[in-house]
Amino acid sequence: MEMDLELTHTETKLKKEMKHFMALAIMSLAFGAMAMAFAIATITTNGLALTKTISNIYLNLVSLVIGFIVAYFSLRYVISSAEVLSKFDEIQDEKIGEKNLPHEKLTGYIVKLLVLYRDEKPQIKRMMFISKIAGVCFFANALFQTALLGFNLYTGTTNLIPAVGGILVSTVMGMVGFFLPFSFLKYSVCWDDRLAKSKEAEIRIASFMEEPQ
Amino acid sequence: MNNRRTQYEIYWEILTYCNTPRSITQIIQRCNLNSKIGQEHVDFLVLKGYLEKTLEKERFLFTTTSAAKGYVEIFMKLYLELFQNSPEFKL
Repeated sequence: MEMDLELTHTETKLKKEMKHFMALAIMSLAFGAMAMAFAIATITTNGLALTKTISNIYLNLVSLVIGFIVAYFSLRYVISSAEVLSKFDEIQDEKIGEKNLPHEKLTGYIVKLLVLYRDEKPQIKRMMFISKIAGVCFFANALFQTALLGFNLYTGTTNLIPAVGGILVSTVMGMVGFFLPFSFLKYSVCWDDRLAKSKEAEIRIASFMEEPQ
Repeated sequence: MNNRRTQYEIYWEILTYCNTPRSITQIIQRCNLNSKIGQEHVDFLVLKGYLEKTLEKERFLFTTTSAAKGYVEIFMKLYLELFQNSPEFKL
């Protein structure tokens, strides 16, 4: 009875964690795609502005450079996120939706998730790093857009609403850029703990195998 | 996938898959192993008495024996425990 309750708890925990990780992976992919779109838009806008005006050339140049940096990192980020998502998707099958999964099936999922973490640990660490850089770039972009807005307001050559919209989007993206690594860090903490415990389990299994049967 | 599985995880996969008789090709395909490594693992499990090798219709089939029950159970117990006794991941 107690064992059954524990298993139900494990099953609920596993399914919940898988849902949360799926959400995180999708969010991360969406962030990467939005960052790339935003970076391309920044490059296009500032590139075009450079050909038309020379009044705020330095601010345009800085935005252009930030745009290229974000575009490069977001492309790498999208590739990494898609890879993690695709591997995670391979683990999920139609049986995950069923209730009262047998011990074997549950253990199978745990093994597969552990293997996924072992495989993808460096990739996840890289994504955390890139996401933070993208976050910094978005905040920097928001700052420069604010400066640009101030300059243009002073010279009276700007539309307030799109400019403020751009600043807001940059700020929100910057915040997401820091939220994602924080969530991946929580995921890493959980799985690092399990990885360490799996090494202890390995020792126990090895000694079990050495025992005379 | 790079599939960084430990040998014990591979043994467990083979043993649970071989609850019904399987050929070496089926084991290799299902457990995503190369033929050399797959053969080595299967030979080891046969040697340990965890797998039984039988000849059926001119091909060898491998079936998990009752001797493997202890291994499969301790493996599942430890892996379920490591998941149960760790912090939960939430967004």
